[in-house]
Amino acid sequence: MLNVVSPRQCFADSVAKEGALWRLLSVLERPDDNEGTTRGSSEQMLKATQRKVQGWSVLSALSSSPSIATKLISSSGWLELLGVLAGYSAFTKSWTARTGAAKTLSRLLWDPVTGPLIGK
Amino acid sequence: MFEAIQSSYELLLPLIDSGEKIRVFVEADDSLEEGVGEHTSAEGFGDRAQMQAMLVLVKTQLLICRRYERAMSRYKYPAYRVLLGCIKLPSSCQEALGDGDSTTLLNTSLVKPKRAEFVQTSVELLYRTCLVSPLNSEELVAESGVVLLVSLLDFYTKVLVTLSEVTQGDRMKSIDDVASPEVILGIISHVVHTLAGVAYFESGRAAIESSEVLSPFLFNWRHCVDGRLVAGLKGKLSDNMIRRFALEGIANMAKNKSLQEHLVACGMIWPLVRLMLRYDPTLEDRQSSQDDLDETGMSVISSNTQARLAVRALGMLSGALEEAPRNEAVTLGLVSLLTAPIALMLRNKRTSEILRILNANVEKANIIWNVAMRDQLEALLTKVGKERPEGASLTPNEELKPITEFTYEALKGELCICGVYIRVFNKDGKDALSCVPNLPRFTKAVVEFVAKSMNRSDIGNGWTKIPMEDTPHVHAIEDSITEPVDIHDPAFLLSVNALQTLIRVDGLFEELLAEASSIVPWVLLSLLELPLQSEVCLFLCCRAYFCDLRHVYCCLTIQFARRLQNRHLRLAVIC
Repeated sequence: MLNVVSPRQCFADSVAKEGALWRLLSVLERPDDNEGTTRGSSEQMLKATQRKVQGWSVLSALSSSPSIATKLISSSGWLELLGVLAGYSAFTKSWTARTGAAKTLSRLLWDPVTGPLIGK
Repeated sequence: MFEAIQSSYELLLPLIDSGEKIRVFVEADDSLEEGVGEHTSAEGFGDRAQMQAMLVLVKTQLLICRRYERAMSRYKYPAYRVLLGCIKLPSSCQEALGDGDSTTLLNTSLVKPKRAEFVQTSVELLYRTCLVSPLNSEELVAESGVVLLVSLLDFYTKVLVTLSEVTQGDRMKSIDDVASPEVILGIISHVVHTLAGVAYFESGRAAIESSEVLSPFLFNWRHCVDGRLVAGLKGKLSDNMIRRFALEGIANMAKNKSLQEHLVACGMIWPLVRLMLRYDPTLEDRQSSQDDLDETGMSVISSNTQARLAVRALGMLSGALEEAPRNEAVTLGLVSLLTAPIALMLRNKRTSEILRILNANVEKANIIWNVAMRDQLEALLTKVGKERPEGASLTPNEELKPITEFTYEALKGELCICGVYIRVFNKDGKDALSCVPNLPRFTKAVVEFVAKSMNRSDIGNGWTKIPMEDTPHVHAIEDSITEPVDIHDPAFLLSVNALQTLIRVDGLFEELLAEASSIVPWVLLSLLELPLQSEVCLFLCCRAYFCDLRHVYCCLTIQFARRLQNRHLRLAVIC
């Protein structure tokens, strides 16, 4: 469902307008219950990974729209993404999350509007 | 007028020339009424000859009204006071009504054959004068005609009931001579027809409302609808016409708030719902004309006409139709009785659709109705018919109490949002979209349902509730509130599934997202926070996984096609 709706400009604008981006970021940054351990069934872990992959692809799609990209820069969103990438203790350290954060940050850096803003 | 009378004369002249005898009013069988009967039947008149003279006059006027409607429509009827004086209940009749003795009642003057015939002709003239010129009905009201007609209806209804009791008990021998049930039914028919027409006007409704015997009058009116008038009578007597006029009268009376409430209080809803279930959709194509509605037996065509009128009457009683004030209690009662989507159809002027559905098996996204539900409804109607205290005027809550605990077995567990059954909606997929009456409103309701369900459930893991404004109290049937469920409930999965279908409709979500303080982004992003073990999560992951697989498959196909040398083959594979 999110895969269908996230590339739409109107959805991205609405997320930015309603200030709902933090909810997505909090889900993506949150460490999993059984992260770093061997506990939990493989099925459960597979589901968690699938959901993370889906979540990061949603963020990636959203960040391609100017409204969300600007929001990520103007808030502390990009710093949190950097934290995920760097493996900050309070955040998830999963490979999927780090890859997702790197993709979004690179997109922000390459964007002619948001790239210069990060450097300032 | 002179020309009209001249042509009447020319019509009669050949009969006289040919030597035929014109029937005069006094006939040989009148001798039967001589003596005591003669005196009794002419009560209120000087003598019987005076009554006969008056009858001839009334018949003449009736003839003129029938034949020269257009010409008569230009004139105001000037003799209501005289006419009403002739059909006024004599004191003996009023005493007999209060007495309650059947023999006394059936021996009163108005029940004698000649007098009953006179009354029948007179009330027909009342009806005809109002028919040719509707403004005459205002004049009739001004002359206190409504009060008199109400008393006549009460008297003859009681006579008919007594007559059926006496006939069944074989006590007819003790009664001298009584007007035939056909004549009495004829009188009631004209009275009901006139009152139904009068009720069309504001002044008429006000006169009925101010009647001192409003409650008994409405109970008599109800008997005209529920078929109790002829229930005990022997022979093939039909009350189809009376029922039809009574139904028209209900629709007219319900325009007045007070009358609407009184009609509900006397239990008018039950016979109306029963009439709706008598519709035969197989005869829909046959046009029912006035001629079809004969007095012999309950023909199917007249049942269909009555069913249509019953739908309109129910629409007026609930206020679903614009002309009538809204009655919240009845509306909610009908939602329980007919289900919300069908009750919603009461506002349609075209009655065929609702009747066709009620008498068939239908399973669509917005309607579920089948034989089992119909049987359950009929059982409820029978139960109410037996248990409801006869002649008691109840409050709306008391009247609709049997409905409050009533639920259809077939609909137990069905999730219905905004009048749409989600299970059927999901089953039909995109085909179901055409069944949804208001797609944006439905989408909004589904989103709100999902949000409320998530807010209500214990999601854990630092869950923050979705910010929602308190929904104001709604009045429309289609906005009926569906109670939120737990996220582990199968109904929640159904609602998310419906959301999935709706999200693919072009332009639908754009409209919702553009709204101020839209909860759509909150709801969609919150789906990622659902517990992993929930069914919805599994469903969404599978869908996402399937989408990924499909994407990989497409990429591989395109890569393969690009390697093909032949351009046409390459295009074909990509396609």
